[in-house]
Amino acid sequence: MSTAPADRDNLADLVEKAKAGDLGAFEQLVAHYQDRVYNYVLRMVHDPVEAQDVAQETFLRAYQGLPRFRGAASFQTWLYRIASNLAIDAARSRKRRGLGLVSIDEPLEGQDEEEMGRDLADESGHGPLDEAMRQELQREVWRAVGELSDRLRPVVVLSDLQGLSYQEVADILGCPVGTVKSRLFNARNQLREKLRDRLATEPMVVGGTESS
Amino acid sequence: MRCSKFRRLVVLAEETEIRLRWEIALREHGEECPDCRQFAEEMEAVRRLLVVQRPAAVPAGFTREVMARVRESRRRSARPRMSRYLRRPARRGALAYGLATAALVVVLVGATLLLRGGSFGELLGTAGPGAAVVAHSLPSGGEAVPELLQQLALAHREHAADHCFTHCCVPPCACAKVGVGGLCVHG
Repeated sequence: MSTAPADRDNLADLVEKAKAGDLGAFEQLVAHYQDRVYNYVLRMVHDPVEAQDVAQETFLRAYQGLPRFRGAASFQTWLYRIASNLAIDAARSRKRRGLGLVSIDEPLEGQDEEEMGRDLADESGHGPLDEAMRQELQREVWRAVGELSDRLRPVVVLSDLQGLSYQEVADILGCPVGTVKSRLFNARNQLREKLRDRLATEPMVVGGTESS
Repeated sequence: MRCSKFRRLVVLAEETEIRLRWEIALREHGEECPDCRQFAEEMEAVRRLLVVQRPAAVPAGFTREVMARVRESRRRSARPRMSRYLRRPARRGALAYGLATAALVVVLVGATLLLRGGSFGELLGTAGPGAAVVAHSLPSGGEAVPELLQQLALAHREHAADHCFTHCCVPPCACAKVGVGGLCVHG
């Protein structure tokens, strides 16, 4: 998720233009950050439909708050901060309404499971059976992450799933780096407890290859 | 090294600056403690499971929908403030209610004065302790103050003495109930 220096300059230029009211520049920023923001929100709220709404709201709030953005933090950090607050609120609202987790591996509208399985198998270069096992394992990981508390889930999603550094995670969540490390330890430990049976009995399928 | 310290180091394993320290600790303590070695392997397995989670595809048309919401937001904020304020039916209703109430109070007070044929001071005198009318601060020059204002000042002092000295002794009155002619009404 790191950005090359030339890209950073280009993004900084886009941010300045967007602050000046250039909608085209803001649209480019949306296109650049949409994957990160959507995936982060999706991991937090566990519902593709709600994640789409929250992610769109994130960019809308970012646009409305642009005049107040002074550049003390990076635009990405600021965007994640907005997304984090909205996603946590949405996740809490879902819990209050008694809504469960929705698997992100379920077929999208208009696509059946068989077609999706074929697509994924072709993409990974492995047979459908290995791919099915990998998907099942990922679903379990997905469920376990969803069961983490609102305090721990953002840390593991931002650090391990989004690939941000400890400092970036600390800036986004507004806490010290030491707190990030501590929460990450607790989060991974809880995941280890939840997934212990799978870790013991199933070979790890990592990137399509088995690890010892 | 104690097991608790060793396990805490597990989360720092990927930091390059302590990589060497971690490798030494793993080797030494891991050889001594099978439980910690298994703990470290499981934590590393969890981390690998997380980092290989495939990102989901952004729904088609996402950017287009975001920009549509942004443009709509700009259109709404560009409308005149007053009309935007009054656009909500609830606010229009509240404003109409307030104006109607104020008009009714003026009519009632005027009608009372006409019917009773007395002065405003007499009206003050008929008000019981539950509905005393008190005046805001008054000028100190007595001769230049009309008789009505003198009566109001007297009523104010009497009221303040036995009812509401906290609010009324220090003009302007701190209460928020403003009635006719800028006089506050303590109920």
